[in-house]
Amino acid sequence: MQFKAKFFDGTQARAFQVDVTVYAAEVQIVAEGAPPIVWQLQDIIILDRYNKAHPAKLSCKTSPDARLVVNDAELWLALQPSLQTSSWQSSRLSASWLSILGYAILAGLVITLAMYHGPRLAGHLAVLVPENVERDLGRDLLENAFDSAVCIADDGQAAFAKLWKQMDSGIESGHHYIPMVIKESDANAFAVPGGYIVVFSGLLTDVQSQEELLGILAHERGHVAYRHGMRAMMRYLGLATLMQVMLGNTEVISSLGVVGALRFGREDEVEADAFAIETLQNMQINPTYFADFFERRMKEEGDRNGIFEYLSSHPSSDSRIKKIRTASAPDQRRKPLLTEAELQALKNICSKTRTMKNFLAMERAKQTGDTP
Amino acid sequence: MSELNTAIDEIAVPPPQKVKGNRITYSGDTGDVYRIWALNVFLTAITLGIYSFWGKTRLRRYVTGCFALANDHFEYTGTAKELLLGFLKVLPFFLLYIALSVFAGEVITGIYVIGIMFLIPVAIFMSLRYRLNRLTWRGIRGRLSGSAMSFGLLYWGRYLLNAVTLGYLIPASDMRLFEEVTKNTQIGSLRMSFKAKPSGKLIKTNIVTGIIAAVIYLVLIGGLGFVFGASLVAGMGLGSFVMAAIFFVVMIALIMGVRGYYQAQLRTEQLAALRLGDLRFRYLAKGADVAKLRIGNMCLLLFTLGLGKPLVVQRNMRFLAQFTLVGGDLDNVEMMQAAKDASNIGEGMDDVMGLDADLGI
Repeated sequence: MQFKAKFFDGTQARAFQVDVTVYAAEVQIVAEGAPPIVWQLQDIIILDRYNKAHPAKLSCKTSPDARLVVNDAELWLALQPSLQTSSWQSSRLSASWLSILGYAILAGLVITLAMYHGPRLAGHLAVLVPENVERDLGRDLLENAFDSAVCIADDGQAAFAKLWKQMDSGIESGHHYIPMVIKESDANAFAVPGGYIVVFSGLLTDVQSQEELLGILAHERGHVAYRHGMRAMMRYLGLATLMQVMLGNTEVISSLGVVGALRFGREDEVEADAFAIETLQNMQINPTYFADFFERRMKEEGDRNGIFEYLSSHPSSDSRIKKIRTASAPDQRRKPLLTEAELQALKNICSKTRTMKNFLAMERAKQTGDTP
Repeated sequence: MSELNTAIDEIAVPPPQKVKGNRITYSGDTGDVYRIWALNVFLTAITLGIYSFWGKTRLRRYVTGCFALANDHFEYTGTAKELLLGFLKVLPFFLLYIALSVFAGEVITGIYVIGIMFLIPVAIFMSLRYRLNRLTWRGIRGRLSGSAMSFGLLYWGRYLLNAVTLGYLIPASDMRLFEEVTKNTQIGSLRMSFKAKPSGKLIKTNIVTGIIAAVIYLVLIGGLGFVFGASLVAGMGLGSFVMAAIFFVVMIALIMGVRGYYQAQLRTEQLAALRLGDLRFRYLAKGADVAKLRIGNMCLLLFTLGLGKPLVVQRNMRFLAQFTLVGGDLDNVEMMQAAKDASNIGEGMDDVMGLDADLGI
């Protein structure tokens, strides 16, 4: 087979019009006035197939910078049987839309599995984080995210400490708790990595009984005992890394993974509720007081049911109340832990305050034995 | 278009000499780009990211191969193995930094952040070098030499000057950075040369578009402040959130569009003063063309939730081909082969940082 083609010899940009002869095992390329160049068929590299927008381009392992350009559809078709032993480096994609759909389904399965197991595995890695590192993280978080004052009135602190000490008889988890009340009007409380438990002063006036407050505090102690804060951070990091690695810079699609992560938040809440119920039972306190709090909140704020529950980091109040109410309760109501005067002092704990920064510095000094 | 066609026939360079204008063509098919992109996304997910090096290489090969000058197609000769090796080489360095930022104090973390910031232009220069060294035309290799660290220092020095002069020196800095890259660029034996100062028109365009962009930015900040302030008092409903988001997008699009006029003038002056042996260049896009491209791209990415990325690739490539001319006799150009780059390691840092961008120079 013989044909004319364009040839670049790989040493200069000048194009040569050449005569090409294809033999059984080799191709001979002859430019006018130059000695023939021989390429073995098995050494030929197909850089590009011919298509209407693009000529076919061949190179050779023995002269990788040289290019033989075939810009004719019929010629290319005729040449193809001779190139069976040649290697292929084209960028043209041979995958069809159908096979891409198959890959899409497989990718969907892998992403679903990764979203399910990846964060859980990462969460387990939380045990590897040393406690002092976790405490530093929690301290940084509080220092940077909250500028609220910490309430430190002496009588109120004494009442709060009394309440807290009594809870140790509930479940002794061996964890070091650092509870604090901050001056915020909302009725809320949360736990931060490192054992920090933050109670909003609004909660102290919102609760209808000491038992309600104990239930909420026990719930937050549960988060600390199971290191939920650290585990949530590890899960988030794990999921974010997985999504980034798997989906690259397609941020919008990656962010869908966050919805998957919320499920673990709901599991943590259920676990902390169970911890609170056990604590209350061990303290001879009826867990239904704890349920009263959620019931009241549900009446005030409404509940998230159905699809909204899946889009939340907390289970719905309705499902939590049902679980708490089915827990066994002691026969008699226990005598309140705080006297009326102590309870009043606790409600007035914010009559004296300290900045969060100072509070954390003093707490840190207490840990390390340094002077703040 | 008539202006474009005239310009293709002839490029006027210092009169009375006239040279033949050669148009760059781009033949990429949107369906092909979509198929490559989709396969990359899915296989990258299935292989937990490993395929991304192969995917990136395939897309680069395809897109580069669709460009042609004087009917001869360009080639990208980089391999996925090189990209993977580059990534692995830089990865421990970054893992160490991450470990330091978790376990070390604020000072170390601060140094880490400054180090990362400094390395951004270094990484982009290294990426440009890798890509140019893997670009061939008629079998002739491109080459970018020079020190990435020196470029990083120059970049940050100029950045500081731009900040101190409230942006007045941006045109001079952009020209200087362009010179730094082009003076180290070769295609085969031909080395690029560039020596130019910003014209009065470029300086004026920078000032005017800079002031307009700053005013839009202030309106944006003020508007968002008002919306969020009002939402603190009355609560933010879905309607006002959507309105705030639309307002934000429109304002950012306006800033990008306005600065597109500066970008067009900058490119015009950069390419007009650029030489490669006897070859000359010309940029034909006007401010409105660049503004339309940028705003269109932003809308495409936003409204398709990122799924329009292949369309954006196609728009950018077609734009580059449509508005760039190469002047000179390409049939008889005296261009010999350049020495091969000995390194077999890909861009690395650019990959780890996920930059995948150019400096706009």
